Amino acid sequence: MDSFSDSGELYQIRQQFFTGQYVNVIESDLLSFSETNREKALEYIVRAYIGLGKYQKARDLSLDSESSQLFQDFVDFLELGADSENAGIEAVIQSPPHSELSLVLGGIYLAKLGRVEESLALLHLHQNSLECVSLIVQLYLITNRVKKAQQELEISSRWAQDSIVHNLAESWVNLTLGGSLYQSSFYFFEEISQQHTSIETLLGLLVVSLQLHHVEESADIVTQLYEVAQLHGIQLDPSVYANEITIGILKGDTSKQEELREKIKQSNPNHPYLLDYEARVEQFDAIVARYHE
Amino acid sequence: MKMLTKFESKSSKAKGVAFHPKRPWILVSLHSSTIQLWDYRMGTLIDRFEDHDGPVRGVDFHPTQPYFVSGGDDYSIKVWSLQTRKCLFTLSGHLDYVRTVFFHYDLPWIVSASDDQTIRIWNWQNRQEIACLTGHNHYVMSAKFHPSEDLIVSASLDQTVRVWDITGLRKKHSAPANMRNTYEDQFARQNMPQQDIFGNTDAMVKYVLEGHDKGVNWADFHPTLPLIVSGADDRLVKIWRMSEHKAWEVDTCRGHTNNVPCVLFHPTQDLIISVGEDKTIRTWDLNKRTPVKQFKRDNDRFWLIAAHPEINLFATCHDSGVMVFKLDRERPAHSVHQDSLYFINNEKQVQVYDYRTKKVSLPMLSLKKIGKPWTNFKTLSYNPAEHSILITTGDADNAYYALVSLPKDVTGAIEPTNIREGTANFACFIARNRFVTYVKSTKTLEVLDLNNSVTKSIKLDYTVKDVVYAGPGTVLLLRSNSVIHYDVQQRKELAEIQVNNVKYVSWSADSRYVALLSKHTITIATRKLELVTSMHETIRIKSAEWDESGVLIYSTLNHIKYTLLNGDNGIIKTLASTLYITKVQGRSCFCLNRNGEVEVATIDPTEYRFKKALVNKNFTEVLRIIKNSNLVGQNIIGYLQKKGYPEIALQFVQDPQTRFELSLECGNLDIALEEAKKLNNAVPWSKLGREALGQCNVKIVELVFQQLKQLDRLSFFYLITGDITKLSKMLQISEHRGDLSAIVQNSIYLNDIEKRIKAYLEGGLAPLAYATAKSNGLDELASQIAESSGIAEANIKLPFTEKKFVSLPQVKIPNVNDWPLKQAQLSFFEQAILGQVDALELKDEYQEEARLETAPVDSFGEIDFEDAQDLEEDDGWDLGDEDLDVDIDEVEETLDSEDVPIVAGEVGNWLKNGRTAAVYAAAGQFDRAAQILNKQVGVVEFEPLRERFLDVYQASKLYLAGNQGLDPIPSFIRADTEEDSASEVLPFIPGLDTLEFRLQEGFKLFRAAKLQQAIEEFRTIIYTVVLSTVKTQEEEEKLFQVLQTCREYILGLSIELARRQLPQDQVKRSLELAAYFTRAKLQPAHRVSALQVAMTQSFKHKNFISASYFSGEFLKLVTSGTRAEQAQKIKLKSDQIANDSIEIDFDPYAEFDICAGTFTPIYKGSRFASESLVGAKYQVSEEGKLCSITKITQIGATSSGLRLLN
Repeated sequence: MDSFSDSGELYQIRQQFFTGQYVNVIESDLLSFSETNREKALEYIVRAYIGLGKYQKARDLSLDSESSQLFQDFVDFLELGADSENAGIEAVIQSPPHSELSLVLGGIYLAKLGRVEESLALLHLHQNSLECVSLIVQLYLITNRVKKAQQELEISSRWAQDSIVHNLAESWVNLTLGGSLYQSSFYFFEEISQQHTSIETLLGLLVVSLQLHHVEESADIVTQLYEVAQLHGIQLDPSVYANEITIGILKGDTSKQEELREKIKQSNPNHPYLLDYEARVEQFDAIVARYHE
Repeated sequence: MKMLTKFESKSSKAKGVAFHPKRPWILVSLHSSTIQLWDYRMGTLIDRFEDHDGPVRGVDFHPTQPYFVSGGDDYSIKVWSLQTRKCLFTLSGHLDYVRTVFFHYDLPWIVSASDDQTIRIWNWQNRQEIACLTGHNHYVMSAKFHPSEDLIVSASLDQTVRVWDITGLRKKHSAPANMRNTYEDQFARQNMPQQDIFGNTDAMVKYVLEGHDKGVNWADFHPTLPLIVSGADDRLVKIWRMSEHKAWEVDTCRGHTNNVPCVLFHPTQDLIISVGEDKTIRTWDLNKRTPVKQFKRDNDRFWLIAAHPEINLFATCHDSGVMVFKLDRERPAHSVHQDSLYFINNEKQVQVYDYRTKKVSLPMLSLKKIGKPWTNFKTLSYNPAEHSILITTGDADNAYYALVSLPKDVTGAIEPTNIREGTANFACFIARNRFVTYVKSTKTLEVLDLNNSVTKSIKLDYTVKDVVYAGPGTVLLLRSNSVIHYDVQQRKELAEIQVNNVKYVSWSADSRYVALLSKHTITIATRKLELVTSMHETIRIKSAEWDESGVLIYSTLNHIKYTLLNGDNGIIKTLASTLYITKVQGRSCFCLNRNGEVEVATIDPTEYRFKKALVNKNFTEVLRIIKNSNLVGQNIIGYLQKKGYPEIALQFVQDPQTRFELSLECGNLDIALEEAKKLNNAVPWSKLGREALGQCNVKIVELVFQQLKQLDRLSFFYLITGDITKLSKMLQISEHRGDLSAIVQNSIYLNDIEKRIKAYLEGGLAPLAYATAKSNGLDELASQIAESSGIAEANIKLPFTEKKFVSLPQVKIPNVNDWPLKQAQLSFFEQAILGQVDALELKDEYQEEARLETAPVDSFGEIDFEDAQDLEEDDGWDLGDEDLDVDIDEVEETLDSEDVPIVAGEVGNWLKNGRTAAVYAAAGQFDRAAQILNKQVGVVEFEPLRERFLDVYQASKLYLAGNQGLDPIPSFIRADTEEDSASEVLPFIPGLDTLEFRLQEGFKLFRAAKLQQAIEEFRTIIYTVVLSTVKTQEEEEKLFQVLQTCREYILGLSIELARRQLPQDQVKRSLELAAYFTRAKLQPAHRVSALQVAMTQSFKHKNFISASYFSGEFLKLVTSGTRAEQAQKIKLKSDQIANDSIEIDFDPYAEFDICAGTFTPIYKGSRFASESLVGAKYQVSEEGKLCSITKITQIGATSSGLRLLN
């Protein structure tokens, strides 16, 4: 039996991992998994720690993993910052055959270094790995290739229609395509954020609510996001702040912009919002100067 | 169709039954001679009536009056009073068993059928038989009046049904009034024979219906159609139709396997219901005369069936009692999604009700072809993602579900296409693309996708009565003694709670609580099914919904009630007919009634909100409610007292006695004292005294003792409080009153030995006096006493000697006030009510705002703007007579795409579709946007637009997290959320929705004379409009108007600002500016201010001609009030003098514009320069400068005009 199927052992932990409920993932009891599934569960737990920014914990735990070295390298890479190449990971990337984990981490590694095309090429080596598909879809979306993302999903939908990983990726594409698909994305995120309340799922709901111009509701979702973060003692995703800036503008209240920008900067100085914003300001400065003469 | 039994009584052989027309009562007549009166709703026997001798076969309630009639085997008919519960009188005349008795719907008549082969009509007012209808030649088994015409239908064992015309009888007994007086007529009428030799004067046989082969047991009219139905021993039910002149058999319903003793038409539906000795109740389709459904009992032969005149209820008599039931459920299947209610009306059509507009849509889909006729839909589940519904119908083994898509546009009830059906007792959506069904017989839960194919099947190992939705992916399994929260996806029981027979559930808006409804119990549990509260209700519970504040509002058969989470509940409203609540919003309770219509019941939420606030200790809210509503009534007071808030209750009470009790309870002595004074009665005084003692309120205690004349206590009180002076007074008083014991007491307290001795002596207690004197060392006095008593001192022996002087210790308590036994503290409310608490700020906010609105405007010179608001109520910024030459060129701005880089994705689409500067700004092409603005309206200074540019850009950008580790996915907000085509999509541009508000803000600042701020505000509006996009010409036109309004206000305000900044001595310029200010095209209410400035300034500086002109203008706008009077005076005086002392450059009758830069007039015909964004005009000298109105555009720049339309 497929251990990811909804009665399988790994069902719950995967559900939690991909809906960003890292706090719940790390609470999982490794011993409750059978021998065959324990390694996969451990991977999720380690990555949940990484997701929560608890690198040391991730390191410690990964020692029990078969991919211990890869995890160590990956954490090293994360800690050093985005520009430093990591020989260990590079080596893994170069040496097939690849495990799912090595594809995923390698793909993320390459994407973080800005080597998107290499990352895509690597990820495409997968064999029925939904997570790889999900990463591919996201990379396509970031680089404005919706069509490709759609194609990718169509292929995987033949064998994984009901999986949460697939559904999430599908909803990202729907959000980008928009129109009548907004509504179905909305229901998807509404459903999933109720079932699996986490920063990630609520953020999805927030984005689609705003796309549907539900400004008041969005403000409520932001409140909820802050509550969730506080409840679990975890960091908010900086994208929340970026979206909050948008809400502020929609509501006609721009007083908190600076503060929010500062928060994004602290959380991730390379957040695309910041890069984008700075570029715009620069552009505007030039305009002011140009017409001023 | 389903039979829902509502009530059943066990008694031997019931022969007759009747419904009370209004109350939930039935009469049951028994074979044993007893008549019972039951409340079928409560299931209680109200009374028994025994006066008949032998079986009673017929009973009937009077339709309006508190009487009922019965007829039995003792040949007698009895009329009873429901009030006295006694038999009023007996009508005798029949010569054999009486089979049926019925009241006339209108006249004071009773019709009876008897085995003596006659039908008799009785007037129960004068208790006389008025007609005897003969003709049947066997027992008459039933006779009934027609519900509206003068007809009677009877059934007899002679195998016929007869219809009788009783028009003659009515005529005879309701003779014209003018005839009543003549004796002859009266005589003639009395002697008129009841029947002629043919037996047909008053009542004639109209039709004889033959067709049954055996005795006919029952015949009844249709309530509205000319139809008759009959049941007979030939086991047939026959339907007859009659016209004016004839009657004929229409059809026969075959099916009963034994005699049919009774049959009737359904009062509202096209159904016939018959009962048989074959132990069945059968329903037939009236139009097709085919059987619809039969309900069989094992042991009981049915004798009779009766229908409730108004409600969908029937009662049958059978061998072992009676049964009250209804056919099919009357709860319209419905589902609420956001602001829409999807429901099925009684025509089996789907309709939508919009809670916001309170409007119901046309029928959108007909479901007649789904399921069986005569069977209502049980549930409806709505899927917003697919805009489709899932309905269930039928019961037990004949249950179906159907999945149907709703049409996108409502165009009337269309037939559904693509119906996906299956067998299941229950079905509902659990996810956007999945629904779950449950089949009772196999105990199987199945998950299906939208193509109706099973994706999962779960076999439960226990029976489940019903299943309901419980959040995504989960359902509640309703079992007979518990409710289980079940995760269908993981096949896991999440939680369970022990509750019996839950039928419906209602989730709170935030899904934190669920209300589980069974017939008589409401159980509230958390999401994890932990019990919160449970309550019992004697009347059947029908529905429940949570209001937005988390109070459960529920309906019973006849009430709307509420319950709080702690179980406190109460009645909100009494209902005439049963309602099913679907949503509660503020004061509106949206319900569905049994006719399948939406009804909005207005409820007063104050009471439960108040209680809720109290329970949650949200005292500010409590206070707000106390202040703003008139909650009264014993109910609230009792509740408050019970909950331990007597001080709040105090706020609601006037009655001194209650106030007194309450104030004692909350320890408020001041109020208690006040009320005690009013009551002035020993009981309250002593209660008050006790409380005051407890709190050590010395003054009140003293007062109480004085009031009660409890002098001994008072003395003691003075003693312990150390008030010696008053104590001495007490001694004096007691001396004065000659109260010896009081003197003794006081003298002890005061240690005044001599007084005490004196008192003893006066009281004849010489020995005691002696002893006292002696023991206190007053030997001399002692000897005197002994002497006067005639006893030698030597003979007296005192029992003690050792301690010579006994003196009471000096009682002196330093400060009694420090020893209160009880703390009396002002509660939050009392403080709040006394105005000591900051929490009252809730009111302040309002005041603040109000101040802003109406603040007297010192800064605006002598102008008083107070009533300026009145004029500008409704016309917004509609500046009628604008004649500004804003030419809207239809010239297409040719967009040369030289410098537009090619961008993929959403932003790329925007760039392709965009035609306005705003779209380019939103797409991040600031350069292009700036270029457009420069070309269109000559914008040269961009700095002021910085915020707007960045806002427009950011407002449409969103970020979605996606996978861990990767950059977020950029997402975008579009202008039109439903646009599907990539060649039409545009970014959302913010700010247009706030324009109206900002204009009002600007006006507000204008009124408050905050000139500079007002100018800024109007300028912000201009900047917002510059970077905007609209879809229609009208909208564009409106925005241009906004720009013009802003221009005029900025111009006017700038002139006034300049005037105020002038040095004192520049009177001429000041007057000119004041005059120009009046030329700005402001709204009338605001122009009044300008005129007033000009008027008073001119008048002050003796420019009377101008003053006269301005006051004249002023009076055109303001016609009454003190300001008008003042203007009147100014005008009068100015007209008398009629000269100007200072000549100014202002001709009121000339046409001119004002240069926005120099504030000088530009007379008509002279050359001027203009600005293109708002159309401001300037002297030619100003050309090339920056526009002082917009601060961004260049005066006189070549331009093509602003384009906002995209």
